[in-house]
Amino acid sequence: MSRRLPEFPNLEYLRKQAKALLPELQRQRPQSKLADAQHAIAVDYGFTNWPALKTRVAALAARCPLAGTWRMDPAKSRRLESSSAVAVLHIAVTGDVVTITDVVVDASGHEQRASIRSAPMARRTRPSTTTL
Amino acid sequence: MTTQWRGTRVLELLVTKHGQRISQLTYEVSPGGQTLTVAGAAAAHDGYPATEQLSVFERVADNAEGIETVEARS
Repeated sequence: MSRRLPEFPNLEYLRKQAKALLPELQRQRPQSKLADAQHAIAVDYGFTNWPALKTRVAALAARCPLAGTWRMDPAKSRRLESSSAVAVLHIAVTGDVVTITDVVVDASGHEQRASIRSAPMARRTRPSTTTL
Repeated sequence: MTTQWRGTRVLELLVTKHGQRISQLTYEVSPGGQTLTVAGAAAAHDGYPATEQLSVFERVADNAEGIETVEARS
């Protein structure tokens, strides 16, 4: 083992590492495939195989302190130019993707809409927003 | 949309549209992990007014319980 996973490893980054390694492996063994490169990356990080590495990455992401369900404290919050506010936040981290769900309620306490935003970390993506 | 960790407890979320910044939010978890502060601003866009917010949340569950329900209704 020569490398150590960061606290919140990025699976996409690890996949890119494997792709980058593949040409080198194919120079040594022309029949090498991406799975061989992924295996080599996993072993380099101290795992027996790629699935084991992926499982560990998911587990580390699940430990993210941001993950969870959160309820707003109105007394400590302020929001300008808007009559509605996010009452509950659901934040999930799966692999290298963070999903934030806002549950918004109107003045009478009824749920108005929820917007779901999911983005691979440190990578640009199109927002996914849903209005109920 | 871009997300970027700023340390282990702070996530920055930036939304752009046609090259223009629509909103920027910072999600910061307290050292004890029980309080989440969301701060940021959104520019006026698509008929929505500009907003600013500083919202403080208390943790009610360690996982994103209920998220399936919300997604199923969307």
